[in-house]
Amino acid sequence: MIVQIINVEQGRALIQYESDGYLHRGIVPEEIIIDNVVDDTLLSLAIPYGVDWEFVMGSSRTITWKDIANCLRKAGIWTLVDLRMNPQAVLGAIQTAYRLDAQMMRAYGEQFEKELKDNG
Amino acid sequence: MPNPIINRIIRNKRYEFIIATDADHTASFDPSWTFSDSSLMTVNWGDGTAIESHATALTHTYAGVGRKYVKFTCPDWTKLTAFDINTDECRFSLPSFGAFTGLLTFNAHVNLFAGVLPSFSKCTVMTYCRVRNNSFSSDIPSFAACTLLTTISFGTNAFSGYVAGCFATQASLSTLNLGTNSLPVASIDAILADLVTSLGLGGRVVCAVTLDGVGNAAPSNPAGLASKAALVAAWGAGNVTTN
Repeated sequence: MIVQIINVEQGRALIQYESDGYLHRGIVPEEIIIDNVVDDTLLSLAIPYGVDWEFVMGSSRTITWKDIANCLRKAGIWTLVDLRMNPQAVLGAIQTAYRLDAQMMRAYGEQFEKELKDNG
Repeated sequence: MPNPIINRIIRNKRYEFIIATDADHTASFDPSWTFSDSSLMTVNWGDGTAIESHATALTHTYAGVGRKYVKFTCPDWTKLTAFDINTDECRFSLPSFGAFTGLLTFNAHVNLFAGVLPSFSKCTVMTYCRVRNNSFSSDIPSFAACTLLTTISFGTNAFSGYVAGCFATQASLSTLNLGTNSLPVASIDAILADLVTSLGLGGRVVCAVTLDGVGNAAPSNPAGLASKAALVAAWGAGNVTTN
């Protein structure tokens, strides 16, 4: 696998690579990188880097159409006329709905970083 | 010296770490562990063979000679109660086990680990820590908060310092082996003084103290020798050895 070396510190390399259409970053021993290539077997050892957003998004409440519809109504968008009269409110309602999850993600990220700092 | 050991990343108490072996590693790798619940440790042997999981131990035989990288994934660091990787030709630095608050016993003796021994200060229920016969250097990390310790076996390394107070809190410590290190007289004196302090703890058990061997200094005269005399009076001459 061809990898991009992001950073090297004390023999540990932060690498970035794309696999199956997904972007990954991981930490591996620097010496297993040869000419920007890591053997696929050894690449499986990479310690994932960064917050695992999949976890928090998978375990937290998922925004549904019902949630968005509720936010639309709270913003006064009840009819097609309301929609035509105030299109900006639609975007605002969607942002309101998703902001709930963004707050959760930020809280999770802060907890993650704290644990990493406290227990590293 | 390269230090290609990846310590860990923490994600909701999942803890992953890689341990490397010596470059001429040929033998099998046979780590073991225990959990306080039904957790399984997952091990990626780094050679393309199937990733395995087990509650207590795994053994793997490699096809050829060479450095091996082994990745352990612990599902919840608070549930690990024992970890043993003795005599596995492990090299470079030891991953941190500082977060393993339920760890009771830790064995990493007879390997080739070097550098600083990570702190075990959060392993407050630990009773047994054995890393003898490696090449750890710098200070012995403080175990002052690990007040249930019965055995510290750190002989035959290159420890060159001691955090004062570390052994003053140990009432249950019955084996303290720091022989054949590089401890200077100030460290030897501080260790002896702290052990004397520990005599005042309720229920203090007899401790076999080994501070002799190549590399360690002798206690100073008179302060160090006075501490040693107090320990000999409490535990017997055969239990307190220094240079």
